Amino acid sequence: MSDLVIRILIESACAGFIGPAFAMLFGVPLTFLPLIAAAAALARAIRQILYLGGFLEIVSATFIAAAFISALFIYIAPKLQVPRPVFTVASIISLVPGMDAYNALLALNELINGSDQDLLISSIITLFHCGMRATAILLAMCLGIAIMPLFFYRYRFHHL
Amino acid sequence: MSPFLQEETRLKHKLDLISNLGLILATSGAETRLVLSSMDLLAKALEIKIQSSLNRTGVFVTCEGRFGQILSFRKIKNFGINMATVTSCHRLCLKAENGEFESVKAIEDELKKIGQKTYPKALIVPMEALAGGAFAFLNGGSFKVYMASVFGALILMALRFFLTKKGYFEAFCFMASAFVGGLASLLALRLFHASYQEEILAIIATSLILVPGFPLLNGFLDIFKGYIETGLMRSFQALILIISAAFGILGVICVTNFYNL
Repeated sequence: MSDLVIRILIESACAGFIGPAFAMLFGVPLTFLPLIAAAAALARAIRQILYLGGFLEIVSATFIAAAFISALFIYIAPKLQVPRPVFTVASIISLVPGMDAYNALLALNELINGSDQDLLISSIITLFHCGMRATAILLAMCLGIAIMPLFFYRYRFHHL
Repeated sequence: MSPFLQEETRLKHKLDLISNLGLILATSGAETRLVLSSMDLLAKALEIKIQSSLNRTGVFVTCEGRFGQILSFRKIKNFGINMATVTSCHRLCLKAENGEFESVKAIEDELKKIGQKTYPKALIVPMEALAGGAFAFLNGGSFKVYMASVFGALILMALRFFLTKKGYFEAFCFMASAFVGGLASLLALRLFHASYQEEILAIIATSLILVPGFPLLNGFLDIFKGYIETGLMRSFQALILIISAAFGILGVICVTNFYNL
């Protein structure tokens, strides 16, 4: 197996652990945790296949992964008689852009405390690049989850 | 008591039941549309026509009585999150809609039984710590980064629960626990003589378990479904928590720079 496939499998396994752990923090019933684990692993796998496979850049890949999970639970959640956010939020939490957010924070700190002109310019670029990327990924996650139900609004209304 | 007054009392009782359901759902982190539609479902099952509304202040339910409009209001003290409660309330409404309850009293009893079910802290803290370690792997960390992240996240979660139990503001709990957790993971990593990049990874992985996913997502869901006021309120609540955690991490950076750690 290639390194890429192994990496995606390891990342999916990690995401499959993070999802239920996060769900437990917010009191999601025990019976739904395996489903959340599977969905979280799937979300991470979809994003990494699209991103690392070179099909899409990270923001679009995140959006598609979140939208897929949202659509999946629009189908599954009414059958289990459970509101969708019980599943969707914990399932996509592993897509959070930690590294970009931290780099932006470091650059901000450098901007406040630094004095070297070149370093300041590089900090401004890092702050905007990483900050915008982190914000865009977060927005893509939220939009992916929030937009899908709008297509099924009538369906959900009748089945509520 | 006259039959008219009795009818009014029964109507008020039903309204109180509906507003109690709305209050439980709102304080358990249900999105606004779910709160309102659940109240509508229960009203339909109780065979009354209501008008309901939800904002940061409280839950309002009104209906037309024989002598004018009857109002039931429940004040919301805080928006918590408990998905087990949301699920139970949602199922109660579906059961009521299908006519599975024999009387209003049966619905009331079922609603009273719904409590805030949570997992024991002794289970959540290690689970979150391991999740912190998993975040380290997700960001390309090595085994020593994983170990440092687990240690930092363990301290972070324990401190967060301790401060929350003591009644401190949520923003302060996030800030303090991000600072202490980040510092703990950094110091733990120093034992392994790790590189600067690995230290960064450990701090990120530790603090990522503080991401306020539910308020953020609920905020967006509310905004996209037209409940701008509550949506913005929830989004800002999430933003404040993110900024608080960021302050905690900045504190770690400042301390390490100041003491040349």
